Amino acid sequence: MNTNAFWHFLSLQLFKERSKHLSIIGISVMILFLLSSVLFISSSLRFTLEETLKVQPDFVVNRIQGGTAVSTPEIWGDELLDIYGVSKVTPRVYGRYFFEAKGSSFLIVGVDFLEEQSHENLQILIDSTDIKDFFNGNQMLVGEGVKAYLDAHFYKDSYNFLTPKGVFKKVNIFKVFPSQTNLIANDMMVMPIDLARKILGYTDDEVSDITFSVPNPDEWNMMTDKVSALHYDLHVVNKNDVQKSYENLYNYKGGLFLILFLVVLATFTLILYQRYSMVYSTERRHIGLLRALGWSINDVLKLKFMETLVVVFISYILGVFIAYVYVFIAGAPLLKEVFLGGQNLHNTLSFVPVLDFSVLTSIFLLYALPFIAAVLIPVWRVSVTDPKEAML
Amino acid sequence: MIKPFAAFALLLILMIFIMGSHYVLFPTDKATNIMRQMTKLTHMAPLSLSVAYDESVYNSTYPEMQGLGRMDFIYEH
Repeated sequence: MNTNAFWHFLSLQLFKERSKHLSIIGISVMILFLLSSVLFISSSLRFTLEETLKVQPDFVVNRIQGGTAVSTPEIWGDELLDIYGVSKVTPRVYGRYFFEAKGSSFLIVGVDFLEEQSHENLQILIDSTDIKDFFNGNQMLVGEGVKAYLDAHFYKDSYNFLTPKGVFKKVNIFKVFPSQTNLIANDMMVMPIDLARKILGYTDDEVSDITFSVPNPDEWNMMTDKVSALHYDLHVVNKNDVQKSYENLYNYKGGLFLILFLVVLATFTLILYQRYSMVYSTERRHIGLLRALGWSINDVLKLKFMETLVVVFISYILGVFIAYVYVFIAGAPLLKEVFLGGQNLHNTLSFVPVLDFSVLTSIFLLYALPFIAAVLIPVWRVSVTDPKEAML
Repeated sequence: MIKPFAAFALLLILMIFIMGSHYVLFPTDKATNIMRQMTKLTHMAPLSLSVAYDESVYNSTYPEMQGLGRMDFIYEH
């Protein structure tokens, strides 16, 4: 058959039966949109976290008492420095501060701004010319979520922290972190390390934990054993453990949606199969008519295959496009709560676009193959019967 | 190919083009660089998750006790 005539007939056929195809496309777009959205969010979060992991310290050690993390002696840092191969030993002071009135919490992080590196990072982040003012008095930098929450509770310029000793500590809000950092800094309050110690109730020689790096990854296992042997109550976590926990978290949530997708797809395929194999359907009569007009079985199958392929492509492109706009342009309202949670502070983050082509191909194959099979098998069974019988 | 169908095909191509342009033009480097600076400053990258989703805070076996954390790493070595 002439190719142009075939495409003309195919497009006419699709257009004529548009109401039938639209319902199938509608359901397919909905399924593909949901699955693609979940996978887009999951891959974007994983990409961003992997990028931040690259600059995170390799190891974290802290002290454990009765199965719970307690304050770590800062002197452990000096012991770590004595081990050959250990570099960049940095004590960290951080902890959650609960805003008792509503049960919401902030993450207080103490930073040693006397370090030159911290100073440089701060300057890049807040892009301020009056950075010297930050070191005058008690100042802090807050995430967008914290700022919005404090504004709503009438703490426009400062906040009064209640220390464990029962003393109020007034800290001014210096600047707000850029919105691009909302994935990690939305609920964060960054302040000088000594101020954080006072608010969280640490003494001068205590820290939350100590981080260090080991430039040679081949030494990591050996270093874990070596550091663990320093103290019986010492707990070591390396970067690989953190990476695994992130992967598990998002694989689990993405996997859950994939299972739901497979269940919905199986149901959808069954419905399609049943619809096309109905004995007195118009499809059957239509195929019989084409056969009576002289179409070969191959021609009929080709027509139905191309018809289904067009429907599959339209649904796929529409589903993925709507998911892309929803996640990377609109910021995935509602669905992002599944991944980030919406119980604490409201987070308005924007996802970094990440298109994982292997995932996109898998979605296409998972969706297209059962769909095409569910249509072509009944069509083939009708095509091989006598046209007179098919038109009955 | 009939006109309405050709117009719809063009619309689909336009959608792919919009998606591709947004993907290529998005300042990914800038966004990841800011995140990296934030991590370098604080030496950590804690996700701003709602605590309700942070299961490690709760001990599901003994709810009145605090979470056990990851003690398995100590005993393992």
